[in-house]
Amino acid sequence: MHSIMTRGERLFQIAAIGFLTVLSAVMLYPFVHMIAVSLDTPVHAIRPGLHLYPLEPTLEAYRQAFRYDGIYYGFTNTIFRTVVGTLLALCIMTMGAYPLSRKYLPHRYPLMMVIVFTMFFSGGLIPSYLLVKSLGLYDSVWVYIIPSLVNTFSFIILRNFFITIPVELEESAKLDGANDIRILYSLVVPLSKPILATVALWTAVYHWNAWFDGLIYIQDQKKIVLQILLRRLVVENLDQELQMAMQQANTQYVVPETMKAAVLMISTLPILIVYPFLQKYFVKGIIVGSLKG
Amino acid sequence: MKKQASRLAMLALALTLLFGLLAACSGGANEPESGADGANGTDTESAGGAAEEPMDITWLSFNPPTTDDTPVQQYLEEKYNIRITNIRIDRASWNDQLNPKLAAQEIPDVFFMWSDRDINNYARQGLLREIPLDSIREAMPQYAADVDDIDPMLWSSGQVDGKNYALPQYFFSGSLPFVPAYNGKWLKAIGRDEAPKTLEEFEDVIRQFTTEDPDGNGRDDTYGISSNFKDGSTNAFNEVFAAFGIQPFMWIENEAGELEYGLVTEQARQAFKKLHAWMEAGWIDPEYITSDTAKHRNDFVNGKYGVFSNMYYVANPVNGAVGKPFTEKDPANEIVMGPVLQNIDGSPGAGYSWGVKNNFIGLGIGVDDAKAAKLLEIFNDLYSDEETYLKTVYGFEGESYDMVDGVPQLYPEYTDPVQRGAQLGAGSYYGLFGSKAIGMAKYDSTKEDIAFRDKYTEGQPAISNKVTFNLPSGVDYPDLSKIQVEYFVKLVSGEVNTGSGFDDFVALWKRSGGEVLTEEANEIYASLKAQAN
Repeated sequence: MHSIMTRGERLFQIAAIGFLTVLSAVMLYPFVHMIAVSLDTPVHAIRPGLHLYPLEPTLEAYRQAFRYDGIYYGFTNTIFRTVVGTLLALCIMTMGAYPLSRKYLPHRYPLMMVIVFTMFFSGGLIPSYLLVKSLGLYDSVWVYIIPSLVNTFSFIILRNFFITIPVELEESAKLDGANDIRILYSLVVPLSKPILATVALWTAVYHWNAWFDGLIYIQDQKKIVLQILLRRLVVENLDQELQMAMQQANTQYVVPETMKAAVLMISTLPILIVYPFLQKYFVKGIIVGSLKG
Repeated sequence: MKKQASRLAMLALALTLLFGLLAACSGGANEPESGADGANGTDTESAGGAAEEPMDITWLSFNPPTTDDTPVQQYLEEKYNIRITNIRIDRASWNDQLNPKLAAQEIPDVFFMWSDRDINNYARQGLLREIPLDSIREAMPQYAADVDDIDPMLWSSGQVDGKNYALPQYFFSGSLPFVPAYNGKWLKAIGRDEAPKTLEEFEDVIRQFTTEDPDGNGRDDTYGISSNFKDGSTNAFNEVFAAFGIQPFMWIENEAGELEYGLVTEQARQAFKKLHAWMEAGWIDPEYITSDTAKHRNDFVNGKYGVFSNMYYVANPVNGAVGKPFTEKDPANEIVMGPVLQNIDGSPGAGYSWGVKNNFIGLGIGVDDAKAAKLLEIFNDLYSDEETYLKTVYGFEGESYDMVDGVPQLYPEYTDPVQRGAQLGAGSYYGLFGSKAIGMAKYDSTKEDIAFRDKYTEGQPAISNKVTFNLPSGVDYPDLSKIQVEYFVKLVSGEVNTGSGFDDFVALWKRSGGEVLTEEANEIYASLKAQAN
C-alpha cells in the first residue's frame, strides 16, 4: 500500500481528518460531560465551564441512584420489553412481510395499502387508551410489547428485502420437498440476516427508549420502565404553579445534578454497549433494504 | 401447489394483520363497554356499603405511594372503614396521563386539581360533584373559618357559575414578599456593609458588581442581575418593579380602585426605561432570557451575577435551594438579604408575592351523598386533627421522624417528599393539607426557620395578583401571553423604545384582548367584593 499523494490530496486528507475530529469531539463531549458530572461531588457538578474529568471523584451519585426506589424494577422491565419485544416483533414481522413479498399472493396490494395506511394515521391517544383497556392490557407488562409488535416502517423495509430473494430459489427448494414454513426458516431467514439485524437493532433501541406507553398504561410501580424513572428525576422544572406548591419551607428538595447524570449514564450505557456489535450489519442492512422495491 | 402455498401465506398474513390492527388502528366499537366499567363498579359497591362494608374511594393527588399497602393508607383505611384505590400520575405529565382516564370515565373520587382553570374545565364537562359552601362550613368549621380569615376571595376560585366545586387550599407563606438577596462577599468588595434600600443605591450596587470586579479574579465576567425568564418570566426583575409599585404580570389595583394589568401601566414604562438603560450599560446578564430556574440558581452560586429576589427560604444557608450550595461551595460565602426596595415615591416598597391561592381538592361526579359526607369528615381530620395531620404528612414517630423541640424532624431517607410518598404514603398524597393548614404550621417549620423568616420578612408589605378568579374570556386570547413576554424582552433590550414604542405596545395589547379582559376582571372583581362584604 504505497500510494503517493499529491500535495492537494494530502491537504484534503488533513482537512478531512481535522474536520471529522472536531465533529466527533462535538458528539463525544456531552457524554464525557455527563460521565464527569456523575462522578463528581454536587458542589463541583454545577460549576461553569468544561467538565472533562471529575475534580473530586466519588461514586456517591451512583450509590444514591441504585438506592432509588424502583431502579431494579425499572431495569428488569426494560430488559424484558427489549428482549421479548424484539424477538416477538421480528417473528411476527417476518411472518407478515415474507408472504407480502411474494408476487403470487392474491390481493397483496390492497393488503399492503391497509398496512401502510397505519403509518400515516393512528387512532390517537384516547381511543388507543380505551382499546388497550378493553383488551385487558391495561397495567400489564404486555402492553409494552403487543401494541408495538409491528412497526410499519420496519415492516416495509423487511418486505422490500424479501422481494430481492429470487423466486427460483424457492422453486428449487420446493422441488426438494420443502413447504412454505421450511422455506421461510431455512432459506429466507438465513439469507436476510443483515436486514433482520438492522430491524432488531431499531426495535431494541425503540424498546429501550420508550416511556410514553409506560406513563399512560401502567399504574403498578413494579411494572414501570427505566425511562420513566429517568424522566421523573430529570424533568424537574415544571411550571410556576407547580413549583410554588413545591417550594415550601420545610420540604425544599432538589435532586442533585450528579444523580441525574448518574441515572442518565445507567440507562444509556447498556444500549450503547450493544451498538458496536450490531453496527456491521446495520449499514449493510439499510443500504440493501431501502433502495429497491 | 401454488394454491397451498398461497393459503399458508394468507394464514401467516392474517395473523400479522391482526397484530397490526392491535398496534395501530383503534377499535372504536369497544368504547361504551370499557367506559362503563370503572364508574359502575364503584357506584354499586358504595351504595350498599353503608353499615360495615368498607367504602370504596379512588384517590388522586401528587407524590403517590408505590404500593397499595403503605402504613399511611392502612391507617386511613382502618380509621375510616374505607378501601382506597390509588391513582398514580406523574407530576411532569399530569394532563397527558389524566385526560385518557377521564375520557374513559375513570373519575377519581378525591380529585386533586392544580388550578382554577382545571376546575372550570372539569366542572363544565360534568366531571365534578358540587360541594355546597354550607356543607363545607358545617363539616369543616375550622378550615372554613381559616379561609374566611386569610382571604375570603379564595372561595371564588373554586366556583363556576355560582356553584362551588372545590375546596381551595391556601399557601400561607404565599403572602410574604420576595426579598432581594445579595452576594455578601461582593458587597464587601465594593465597600458596602449593608444591602441597598433605595433604587439609586441598588443601581450603584449592580453597576459596581459589573464594573468593579467584585470577585477579584481580574476579569470582567460578572453582572449585576439576571433572571430565570425561561420558566419564571412572571417574576423576572421583580425587585426592580417593586420599586415602581407594580409587577408586570399581575393585575393590580390602582388608586381609583380599578384593576389594571401591571405590564401596561405608566409605572411599567418607567421601570422598563431603567431596565433598558442597565441592559445597555451591560449590568444585566444578557442570558437572562434563556436561563431557567436551575441555571439561574447555579449562576448565582457560581458568582456570575450578584442579586436575586425570591422567597426568603431560598437564601437560607442551612437548607435553602441557593443558600445551601452557596455556602457549601465556599464557607466564606454569605448572603446578605435586604429590604424590598423603597418605592420611588418614597413610600415603603411592596415585594412580589405568590399570593395565598394554591391548589384545589374536588370530588368526582361519581361521589354520592354518603361518600361526600365521609370524605369531608376525612378532610376535616386531615386539616385540623393533629394526630391525623402528623401521620399523613410526616409518617410515624420513631419510624420516619423524631420529635425535636415539638417539630417533626424527618429521617434523611424521607426528606425527599417523593420518596416519603412512595415508601410510606406520607406527604402530599394523603396529607392533602400538608403545610397548608395554619393551625398545623407549628409542625412544619423549625424555630430557627421561623426566626429566619421573621428576621427578613416581618413588616414588609407585599403585592400579589388581584385576579385570583377565572377570567372566562381568557381562552379566547391564547396569543396574549405570547405578546406580553415578547414585548417584555423587546422593551428591556431597546428593540421597542419606552416612548412611542410603549404606547404602540399598549394599543396592541388592548386590541389583542387586553381591553376585554380588563373589563371582565373589573366586573367580576367588583361583584366578588360586594359579595364578600
